[in-house]
Amino acid sequence: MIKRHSLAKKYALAFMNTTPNSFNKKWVESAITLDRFFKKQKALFLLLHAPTISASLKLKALNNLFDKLMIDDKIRILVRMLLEHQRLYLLRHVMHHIIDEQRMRNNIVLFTISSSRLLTSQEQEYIIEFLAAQTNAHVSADFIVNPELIAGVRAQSSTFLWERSISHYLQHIKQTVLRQATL
Amino acid sequence: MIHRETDIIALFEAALQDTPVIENLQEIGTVIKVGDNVCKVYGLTNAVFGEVVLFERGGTGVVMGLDEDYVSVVCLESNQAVIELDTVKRTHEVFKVPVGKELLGRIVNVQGLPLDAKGPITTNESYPIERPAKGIAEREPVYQPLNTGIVAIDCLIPIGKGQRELIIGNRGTGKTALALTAILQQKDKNVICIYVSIGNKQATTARIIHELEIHGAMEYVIVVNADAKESALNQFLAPYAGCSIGEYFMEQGRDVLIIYDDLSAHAIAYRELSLLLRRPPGREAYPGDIFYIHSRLLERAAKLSTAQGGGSLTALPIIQTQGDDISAYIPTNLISITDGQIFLDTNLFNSGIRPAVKIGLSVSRVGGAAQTKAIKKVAGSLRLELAQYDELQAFAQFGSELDKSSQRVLERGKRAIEILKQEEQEGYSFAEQVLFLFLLKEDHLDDRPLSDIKPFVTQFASYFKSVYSDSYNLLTTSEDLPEDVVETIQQAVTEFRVIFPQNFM
Repeated sequence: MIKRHSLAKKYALAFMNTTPNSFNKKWVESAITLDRFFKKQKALFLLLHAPTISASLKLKALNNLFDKLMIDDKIRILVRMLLEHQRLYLLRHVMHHIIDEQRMRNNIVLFTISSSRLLTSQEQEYIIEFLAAQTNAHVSADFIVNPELIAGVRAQSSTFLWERSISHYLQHIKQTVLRQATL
Repeated sequence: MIHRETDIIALFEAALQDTPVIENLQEIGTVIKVGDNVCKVYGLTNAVFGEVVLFERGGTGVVMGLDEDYVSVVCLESNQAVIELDTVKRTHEVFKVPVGKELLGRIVNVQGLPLDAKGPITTNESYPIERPAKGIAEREPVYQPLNTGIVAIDCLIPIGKGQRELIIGNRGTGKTALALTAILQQKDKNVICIYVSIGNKQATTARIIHELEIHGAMEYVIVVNADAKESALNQFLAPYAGCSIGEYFMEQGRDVLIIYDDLSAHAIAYRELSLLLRRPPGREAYPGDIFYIHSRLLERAAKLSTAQGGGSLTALPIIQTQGDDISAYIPTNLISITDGQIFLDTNLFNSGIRPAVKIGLSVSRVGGAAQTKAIKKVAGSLRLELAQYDELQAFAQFGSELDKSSQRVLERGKRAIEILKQEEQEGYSFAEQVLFLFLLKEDHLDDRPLSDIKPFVTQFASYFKSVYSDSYNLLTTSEDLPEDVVETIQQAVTEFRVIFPQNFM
């Protein structure tokens, strides 16, 4: 799995370096659309790996799909390349890496913000501003409600975590007591 | 184990008062692979090598590998609950061990947590386990002798404070016993001892601790335990933790003796760790930096200059050989690093010569600089006499007739061997050793049967100590053998020969 990640990242970086300045909102939307499609249609994705189906047939099917979903041209180039290299299974990983890399280059951090109750828009804005100040980056956030926090907020990205919640405090107490009890 | 409700309530109250520090944004990673105590963590892009990280479910680990997209974290506890996609937080701190006089008399693990059920240990300071060795300007030459209590070592392979002397031999040849005797001999000598147990059986470590307790040595001893049940990481880190504890006292101007028992288990633990971290194996599957892990550990032993406090850290690493082969990989590494070696021979051990020190293969590169003048005067020719004895012994075994001078050499050698024999944990002070060898040198033992030698010399030492206490004290304090003391000893011998019966045994 680690090798797959490393390989996908290499493809992503190589692709970005050969087609710079091509990533816009349309590209990102196309990538997300394609990713969601393949996530739902896993059987189709598996068929694209079948060795008995010829590459030309696979390419024809993909072109029809791209036309229907209005996928960006750059992504079509990427998919064709992976198909030729018989590494189509890396497609989703490569797209994820491209998006991550693009975010990193543009200093965008994506947070998942969990709260014990639904936050007001003002509260959401305040949290985003706070996180932006902490990370010195542009913050993009998805908000979800997680009653297990009991009370408080947890903000997590792939590389950062900020939490103020009762459940976190109780977890700390539990670990402290267990540690002292074993001494 | 806590049984009382009030204890549990007290723990909760203490935990509630110990409010978590308000943390800023924490850097985290995600576990993407777990196996054999090694976790691959995606993220932690700014983590440093050797940094301690915290797992979501309460365990800790140490960053032992840095790769492009992930870091390799080795868990400190082998029974840690870690699963894929767990969050891992940086602590921004390298692995540290608590240091201080509060550790004296305690048995601790690599993290400094007590194992002796005597309550928690609270210290004011913590030292990183990896610290740079003292520079040349901070050191001074090794000149102060460290009395191990073993005649063969103090007279023939003298160890000085700040020296590294390797103890090498097959299994069951008395390496640990020798080290234990050295520890016991430091009683009332203001030397702090640290015993680091690496990869040993728990029963063995328990026996050693029991011996230390019986002899009242625990008050100046610290035991750092990483026995065979500990993970490879703990066994690898243990000697560094012990060394950091010792350096604290050394920097306070104290003398410290540290025993690493044993570094062959340490090398094996590091090999296991490196192979799990997928580092390329070298000779005998050891990683390429196997020399460096020992050299940087042993380089931290030093004799500090007076300006730095004058403290010292003396290291006695132990290494086990297979089949008396001192030319193997790890033993040769350590021989080249240390300032000498004490080689314990299996054949000598089996023939009853214990400690089984093979003088011909043992050396102290510090040599006479770490010996008192008194010892130098009486033991100067002993090594040569023993070498001559070894050479002639071969002829004697063939039954060939030898001339009188050769026979004399043989008889003298046999008596020297008898003096060098000692019971386990039986240590002799410098003064007693001087008296033993004085008797040998001045031919007072030539007419005694071999079986009488040891009782004669030991009882003479007791006699001299009690009857001529002034001279004995002068010998002890001056560490020299002035003429008047020599005359007194001669007189005492004359008297003692009358008291001590012929054919004692």
